[in-house]
Amino acid sequence: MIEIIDIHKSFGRQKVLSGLSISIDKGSLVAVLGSSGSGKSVLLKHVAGLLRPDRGKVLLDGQDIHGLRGKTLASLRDRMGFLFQGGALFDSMTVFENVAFPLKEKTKLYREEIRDRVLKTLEAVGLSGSEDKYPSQLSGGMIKRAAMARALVRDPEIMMFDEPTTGLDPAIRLAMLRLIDTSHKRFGFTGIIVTHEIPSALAIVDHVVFLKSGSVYARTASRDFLSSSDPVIKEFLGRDEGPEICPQK
Amino acid sequence: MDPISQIGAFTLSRLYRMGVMGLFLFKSFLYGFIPPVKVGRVIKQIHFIGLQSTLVIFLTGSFSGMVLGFQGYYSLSRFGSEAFLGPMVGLSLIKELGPVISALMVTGRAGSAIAAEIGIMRITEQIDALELMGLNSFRYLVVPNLIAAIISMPLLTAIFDVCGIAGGYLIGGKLLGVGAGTYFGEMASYVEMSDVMEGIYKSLSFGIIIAWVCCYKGYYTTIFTGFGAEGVSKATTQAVVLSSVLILVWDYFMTSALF
Repeated sequence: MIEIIDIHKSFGRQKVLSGLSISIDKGSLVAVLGSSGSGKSVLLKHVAGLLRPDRGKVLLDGQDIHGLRGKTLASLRDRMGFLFQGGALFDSMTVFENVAFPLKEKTKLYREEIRDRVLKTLEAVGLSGSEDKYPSQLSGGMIKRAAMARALVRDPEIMMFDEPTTGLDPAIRLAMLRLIDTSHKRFGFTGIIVTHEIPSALAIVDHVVFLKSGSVYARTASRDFLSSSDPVIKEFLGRDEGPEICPQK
Repeated sequence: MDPISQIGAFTLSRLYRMGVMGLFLFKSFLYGFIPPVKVGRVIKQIHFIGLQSTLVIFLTGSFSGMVLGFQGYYSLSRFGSEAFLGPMVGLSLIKELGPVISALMVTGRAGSAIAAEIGIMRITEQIDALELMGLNSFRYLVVPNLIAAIISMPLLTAIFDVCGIAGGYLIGGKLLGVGAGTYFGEMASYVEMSDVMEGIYKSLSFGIIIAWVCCYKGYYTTIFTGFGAEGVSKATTQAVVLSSVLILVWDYFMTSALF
């Protein structure tokens, strides 16, 4: 379970998060929505422990991630996967090496076991045959899928997706969301998706958290979000609404 | 903001950066001494910093020695002391020029690349990805460079010295007529082991400076030098300039201490 309790964060004079609190049940998939600059990605980096809040706590199964150091923090992060907006693949390594890297470094698996697991994960994300390519030889969609394979290869309990479909064409966006959905069902992780992908993303998530001015403005079941009568949400949907490319859950 | 406050804010920000830089060096040594050390990455960086720098060291060493041969012969012949060309070339190279020029060459060739590589990893979130895998980014990116620079620099300096002495002999001994016996004989009489050790100590400390400054500049690219390609370019420039200045400043203090 993830509990975000009253977190505040400013960069210089710019206040990005102000008293944001959310709790996410184990195994559920939550979409974090909001206008650009509402603090979605900053929130995600707080949950991952990449940013420290000025005030407040992020509890992962009761442990405050910002109070942990060294091996304790590393073992908590062993249970996490993070899909970065740009993929963050190691550009001097092939796709295979990128996906195998966390297994080589963090497990005692034999070379053959690592190979099997990497190939299986690459097959699951539809990247069979691209093992020997470098990130610079991949398309945007392939980079995201390779990054997803790297994040999923250790069966994380918590997955964070930072704008997984941004910059992809409509067909690839749909495929990416389907991939997140099938991975969620298969691995059963607790997931947070930061996205602008409306309404498609709503089809795969359980809840929607809508941020405004650095705090939670609304939290609803995904099916209720589109029909919300709240003027702020209606304005947001009117501005960001895109073509429906995925059927509603 | 009034001028006094501006000066105060500037001073505080500089002190903060110096503190961060000092802590960076401390952490680098700390993780360098606490296992596990990534041996594979250390070897890779020795190949990059050391082996791949040998050609540039060979060329700069040879030509520095040849220039010293000409200039030394010109100066010494005014006093009728051409016989001391060997000790002059040897002492200049071993005590001073070898460590300093090698360090400046390695800064330009390998240090800039290290800063750029780590800087790009920072702006493309590859360092965050490492941390999120539960891995220590210092152990992967900084410690191998530090160990590799400490191992490589004395060896490169030794190559520089040998090439320089050979270059000096080519000009002084062969071209200008100071015999091999005089050149090398006088050198053996006047150059002592303490002189050689001085050069080694200097090159070791220059290796630390190069790895420290270049890794630091790359690692904190987005925080201290800005975002994107411009941030990396600034970090790389600052890494080369600061390393070069620190090498020369530190050289002065070491020379004073070992004089």
